[in-house]
Amino acid sequence: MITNLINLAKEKDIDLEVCTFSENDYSVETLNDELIKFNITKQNEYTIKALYNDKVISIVTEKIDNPEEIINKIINNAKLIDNDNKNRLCENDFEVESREYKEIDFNNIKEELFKLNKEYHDKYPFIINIDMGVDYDVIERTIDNDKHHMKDKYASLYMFASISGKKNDVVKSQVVSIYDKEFNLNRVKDEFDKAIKKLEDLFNATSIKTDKYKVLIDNYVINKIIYTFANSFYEKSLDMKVSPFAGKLGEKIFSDKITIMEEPVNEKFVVNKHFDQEGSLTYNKEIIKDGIFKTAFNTLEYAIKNNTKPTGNANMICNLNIKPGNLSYDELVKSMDNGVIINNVEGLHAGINTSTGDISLQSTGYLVEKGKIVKALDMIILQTNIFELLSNVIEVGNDFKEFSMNCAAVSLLISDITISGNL
Amino acid sequence: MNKEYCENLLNKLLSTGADYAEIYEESCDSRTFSYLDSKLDRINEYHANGVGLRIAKGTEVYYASINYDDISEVEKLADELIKNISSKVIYKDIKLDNLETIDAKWDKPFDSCSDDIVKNYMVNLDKEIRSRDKRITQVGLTLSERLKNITVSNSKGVYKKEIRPNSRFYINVMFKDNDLLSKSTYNWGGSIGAEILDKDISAGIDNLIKYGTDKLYAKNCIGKNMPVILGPGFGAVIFHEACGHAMEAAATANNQSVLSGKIGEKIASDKVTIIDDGSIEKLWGTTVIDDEGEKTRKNILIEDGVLKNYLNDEINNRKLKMDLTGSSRRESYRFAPVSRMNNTYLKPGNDKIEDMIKSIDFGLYAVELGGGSVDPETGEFNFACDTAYMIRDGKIAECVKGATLIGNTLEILSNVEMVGSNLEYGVGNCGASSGWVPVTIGQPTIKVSSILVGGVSDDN
Repeated sequence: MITNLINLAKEKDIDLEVCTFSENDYSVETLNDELIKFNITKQNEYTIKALYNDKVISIVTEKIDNPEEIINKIINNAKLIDNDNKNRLCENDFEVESREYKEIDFNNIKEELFKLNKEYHDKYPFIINIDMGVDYDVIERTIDNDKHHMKDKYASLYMFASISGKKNDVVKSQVVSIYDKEFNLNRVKDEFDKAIKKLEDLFNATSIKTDKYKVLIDNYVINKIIYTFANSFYEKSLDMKVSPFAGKLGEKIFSDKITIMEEPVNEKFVVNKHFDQEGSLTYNKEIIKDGIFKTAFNTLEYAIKNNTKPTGNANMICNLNIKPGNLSYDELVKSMDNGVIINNVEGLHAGINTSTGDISLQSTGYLVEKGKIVKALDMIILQTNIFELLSNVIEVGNDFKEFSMNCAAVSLLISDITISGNL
Repeated sequence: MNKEYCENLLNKLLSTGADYAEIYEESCDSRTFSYLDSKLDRINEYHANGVGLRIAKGTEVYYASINYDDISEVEKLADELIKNISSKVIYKDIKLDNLETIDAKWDKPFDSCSDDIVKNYMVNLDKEIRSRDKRITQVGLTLSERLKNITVSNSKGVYKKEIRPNSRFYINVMFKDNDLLSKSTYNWGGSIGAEILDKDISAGIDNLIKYGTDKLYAKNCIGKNMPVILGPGFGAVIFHEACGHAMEAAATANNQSVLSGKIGEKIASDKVTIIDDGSIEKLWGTTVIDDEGEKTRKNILIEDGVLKNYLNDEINNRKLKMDLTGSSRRESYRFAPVSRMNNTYLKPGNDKIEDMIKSIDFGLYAVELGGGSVDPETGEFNFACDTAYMIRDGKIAECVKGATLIGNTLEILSNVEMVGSNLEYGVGNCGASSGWVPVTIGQPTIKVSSILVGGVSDDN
């Protein structure tokens, strides 16, 4: 069907390519000792890129069995669109089978989740609910036009859990999020133990007085914040002046301790992606080097417009991360002396303004005095902006952790950040 | 899939001993016009076609979805799904009702308005907005049109089809003065067609320009507990987050909500009556039936501060054993449905906005709100304040930078002190386990006696 569509397009003087995205996803979710949901998703999605009369038309569809209709839409939309930036189709050929991935036995995982549930409910009677699930996703991508063919395949596993507990009529919850190649029970237990410790601490949490503090923002939170700003590093966002980083390419915008990289083909990560949705080959690169904004993400449209190399970021960013420093998390806590640890934030979609850089986020964490954790904090708000946050960095941690195929992070020790509280 | 095919497939799903089976077919065509930098930058088209199969045994749900070229692929998927469940057969020989078709409730179908008319509307609107202030550096206009065609059939004999249009227009404006940046947005939408372009938006544009320019010079907000006035319309995000999610059966049925087991209890101030009504014509979150085929309706959730009802769905209601509320929703065939909000609003009161402002010595007037999130189990929620002014000595004072407001469900509901009469609605998309669904939130201007507001210290 793809070949038919490409050939029919050719007859109408349309250059056309199809990026096919085939997904097989299996997941299981339990709540305490009940199975909540077992889920299977099988989906094919076709992203059609067409060049016609110097215009680029994009159609995403789950069916390509009516090529005439697709061609008519392309011709009609091309008449309307004003954007005449130059573009082209994929000019690469590449085929790779990703690293080996295993079949997952979800009945076995379900039983493991039930055992885990019982073990933690028995051990910690204050637990009310353990809602957990495992999701295994296998993706196969192809890109085809009349001259070139690309193909790759990758798989990843997410494990998530929400653990709630109650003590003295206070209900608190903690989230566990694990991203890996396969289900690893020991790692799950390790993450559960850390979450339970945080949960217990939160029962006695208080707020603090609004003020500027030295803060240690842990890798989970840094990961969330950095990824929220990822689209602001695109050349189009800069060009259209809808990014706080507009006009700052080549300038020093953060502390010289900050180097942010995108490493889609670094084999240490769970997933590698060798090309983007336009078939541009990906490569490892520094977006921010020693605080200087070195490279903006682009698509073919902007690579051609700005006469730069395609960065391989059409509709994807893979393994965005911060270059680790030398100190462990415990050493960061010790070196902070007095300050606040932020270990969770909520409401990023609304609390971060990716056009101005402002950040205002509901948070939880700990108060640290003389290098030691003294009490848990909640009902606090992290109040800053992206420039202040990443310019005031004192130390960069070495606690590198992957949270998704998009992003990984380390903890950062930062000076003079406002934390709002109600004391 | 015709009636006979659906009956056979449902019977196959029920051969596992399941006590509920459902087929949800969907086709969805959407177009998004993006006008940026004074050009029609792109038109994105998205076309989805697929089917979701759901079987349940008690509260265990087995779900599978597929988009297919050949119907035999659906059969294979059903075979794969039913391998996971096996017990004594309870139901068989299911017969469906005759198909009930619910047509689109729109004044102007999308094809009644040519693409040239849409483009001209955007060209003129861009010019009008840019002419209003020299500090405008960018205008982005987005029109999304979506026509969804869903058919649901299930083992209760339900066999219904609904054609659902949705349109939304979004204006995004950037302002710059030297190094100062601000962004202002305005949007509207509904379960409507091309009549979306007929709305009088002059007041909305006036506000967009005023708020955008005010925010350029916004001071830091003071961070502390303070009384807050929340503007009408999208201000109701406070109720959406603070109690709406906590009233969804997916949370209440499983003791995962701060409101679990509290039906009949006084949980809010007397001023609070909250209603969810998915049947209000043309609102953004409106449908005639829910995604299980149940009619949407007016559901009074909190009345004069007393918790009256939850939002229920077929499976979670097996624990609650209450009446269904027509609230089962999903983003698409890829998601199993659960109870969700449709159009949730606070019933208007009689308090005057001037009296609210006068009553505050030091507080915040949050004119425009952004989105938020909540943990229904703890009741801890947050929502972002997009445009706000401090209130000093009973008067509106300086514009302050957007801050997050945080609180706890039960505390905030009790702190609603004054409720105005100017009910307005705002539109948004709400994300949860069954994906992103369009929701309306509405309220008049209200005063809350105390919320923690993000900001800097008084001493700065």
